[in-house]
Amino acid sequence: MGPRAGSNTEEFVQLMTEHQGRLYAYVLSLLGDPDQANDVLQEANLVLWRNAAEFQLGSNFRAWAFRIAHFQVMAHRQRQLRDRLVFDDEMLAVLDPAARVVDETYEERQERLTACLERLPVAQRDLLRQRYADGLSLQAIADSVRRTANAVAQTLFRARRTLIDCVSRLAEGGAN
Amino acid sequence: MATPEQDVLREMAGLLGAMTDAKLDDAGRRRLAQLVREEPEARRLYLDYCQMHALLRSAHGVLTALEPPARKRQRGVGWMAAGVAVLALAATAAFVLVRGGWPASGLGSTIAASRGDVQVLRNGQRIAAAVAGTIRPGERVLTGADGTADLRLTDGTTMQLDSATDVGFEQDKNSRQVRLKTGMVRCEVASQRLERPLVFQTPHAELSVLGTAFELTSTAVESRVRVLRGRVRWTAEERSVEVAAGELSTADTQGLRAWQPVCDWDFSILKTVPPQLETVYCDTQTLHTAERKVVPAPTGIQVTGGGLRFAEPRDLLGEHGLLVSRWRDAIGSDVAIEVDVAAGAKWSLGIAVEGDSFAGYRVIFAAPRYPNGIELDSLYPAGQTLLAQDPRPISGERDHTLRVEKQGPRIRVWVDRELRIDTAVTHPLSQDRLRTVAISNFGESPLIRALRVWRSRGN
Repeated sequence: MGPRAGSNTEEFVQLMTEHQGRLYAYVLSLLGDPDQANDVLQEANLVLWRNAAEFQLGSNFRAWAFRIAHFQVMAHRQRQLRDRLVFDDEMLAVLDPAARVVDETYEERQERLTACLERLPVAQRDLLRQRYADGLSLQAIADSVRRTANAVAQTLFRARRTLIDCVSRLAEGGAN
Repeated sequence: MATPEQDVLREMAGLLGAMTDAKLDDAGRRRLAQLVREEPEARRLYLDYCQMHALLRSAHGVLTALEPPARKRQRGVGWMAAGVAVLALAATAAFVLVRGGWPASGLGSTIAASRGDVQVLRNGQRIAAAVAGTIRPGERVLTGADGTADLRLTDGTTMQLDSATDVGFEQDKNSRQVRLKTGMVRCEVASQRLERPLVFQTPHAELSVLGTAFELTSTAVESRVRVLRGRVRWTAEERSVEVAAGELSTADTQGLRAWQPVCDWDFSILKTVPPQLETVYCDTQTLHTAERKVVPAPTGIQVTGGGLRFAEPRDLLGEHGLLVSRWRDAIGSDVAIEVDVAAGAKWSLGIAVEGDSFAGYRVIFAAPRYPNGIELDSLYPAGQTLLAQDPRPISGERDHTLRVEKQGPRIRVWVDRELRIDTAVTHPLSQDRLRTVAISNFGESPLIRALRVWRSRGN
């Protein structure tokens, strides 16, 4: 079963695509493992699509999608070997509401990301591009810039950390 | 001397870096969990970091667009230098391709040209085509109501995306798939390996291609392929047919149907009206009576101005009446007929199936009374019997493809990719009628650019 035909389908697809980044961030926060987060996001997308007819356009898509994503995370945890999980159930109960609070900032930070990327040193931005736009592995990037993988990882961390500070400051109406 | 907080953040740097690169080992997982549980600062950083990782995954287009032009040029020069090495390795690469399969980028494609609203769906985000760069497996190209795009795949295949089209690309070790969710693509597919054809999927059917040209359309109710050159295999609901050049096949929830060509005429090329068409005329006074007078009218339709156009009966014969251009021989009852009409001043056009416009079922497009909608009627045996109608207007401001398809009692009428009428007709017709197709005037004639007719392959 999929969404209803016509413009409702287009609107639903639009909502799904708009929320992919937020859903991924939420699922990753609960799992602490990007590969597992990718798998769970795909499963959640399938469930969202199958249950599209139940969703009332105009109601809160985010709340509905996050609820389904949460169920998928729980189902995934039950299937996963315990030692492969980063967080226990108690910690998950703490992280879940905290991740939702952070998500409230997603759109605002997304809007400010371009300006923050422009402020990054070109070398850092180039590494981010290779990592995220070109999809290169750490080792492939390290080979291309003639550095160690560890050095590239550290630079990438610094770049992400700088961006977090930047989008947070701008979001709070700080430095311009 | 570092504060405890700085020590925690330094340790988090290593752990989070490893986490985002999926290199966190068991000890690292335990330590990360401990810090996130016990240190509020570490927890906040962890959640922000997860969000930033997600934001950057979605910022593909921005990152590419921000690349300095000089670096882009350097990369270009780098590619040129690398080209020398590539040439030296060409023979080896060709051998690997032939023996070992497609490279990982076998289905990568680039947008060679785009017009209007064209976007790439990447990591859940929509990116303007202008900054999208290479389209990779897992990504989709979306054209808006006014958008079209030309894509070139790495194997040389070219794809023209029509407006309102959604096409995606998938690839794994064993297959290469193009998924047409909705819309229309015209493809020139480069030669493919027999054991690994390029596969096009629609919601209703699957198309295997070994090197050919075709037009594939996907709508909510039907998928349709028209093969222009070569041959494809078309599969739906466990049934499979080969579709050759000129043929058409459709698939929907009721199954798969195959059609063989009767004619495919482009009137922008033809100089005269094809001899298979016979044009006749009936005046308005007798048209709706059982004694209607149908007479030959060889000049009632002419090739002029890059298309076929009906004459104005009053100019030709000094009175109002119906001009009908019909196929001379029997074609059959189950047929599909398509007419391409050019944008222009207000026009109307009739298309008849199961007989000519006097004896069969007639569809009038842009029928003035509905207004400019569609009506399905029959003039047999006399008068006019209305069988179905669709009041939605047809715009004269752009080109259209008008389509009528008859299969058993079911008649379906399309304007472009939109199904307008889907009905079963039971109105009786004469047993001795010629089972043919026809086009007819209804007021001002459109400029008819092309006419295509198919008959059922029996199915």
